[in-house]
Amino acid sequence: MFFSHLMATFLFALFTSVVFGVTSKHTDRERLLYGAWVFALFFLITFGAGWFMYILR
Amino acid sequence: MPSKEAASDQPAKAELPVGPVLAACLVPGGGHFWLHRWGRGAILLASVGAMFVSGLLMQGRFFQLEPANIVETLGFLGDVCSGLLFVVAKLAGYQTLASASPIADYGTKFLLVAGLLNVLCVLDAYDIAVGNKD
Repeated sequence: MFFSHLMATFLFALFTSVVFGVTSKHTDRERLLYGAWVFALFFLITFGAGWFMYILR
Repeated sequence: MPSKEAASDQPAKAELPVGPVLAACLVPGGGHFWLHRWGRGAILLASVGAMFVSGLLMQGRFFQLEPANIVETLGFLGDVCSGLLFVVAKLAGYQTLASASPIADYGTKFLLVAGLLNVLCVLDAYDIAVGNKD
């Protein structure tokens, strides 16, 4: 099965943020918002760090 | 000598909820299933299970128990935290290919993080069992 770097990043952010969201907060709304926030941070920071390292090389 | 009244003021010693914690250690979300949190348990099982399977599909490797190598040993402990997923993969004879690739390195991290996420599931199940969470 083929996994690109972007796909791996997406899957990692998705699975991790779901678990963080479910185990961290007290209401379903808080869990959903926190999970979405963590997913966005994981994905965007990894994406940004990738471009940053590309520019540095 | 403390009076009976003073003794009754002391908080009761909390018991370890063995069933939910053990179920959570064995199966991701198992503790939640034990405590009848079916939805959350299913989400946790799907997420941690999918992460573990993704790691296998990426041909990630399991860390080995090497007491002389602390990093390898800590990684092994993280892998073991996946519970029965780890045991089944080992019993099924899962082995990585000899050739290393960046994606296989991702797979190794997926396998490790699946175990660490299961630790969060265990702690959450414990919190629910002792009444700290709904």
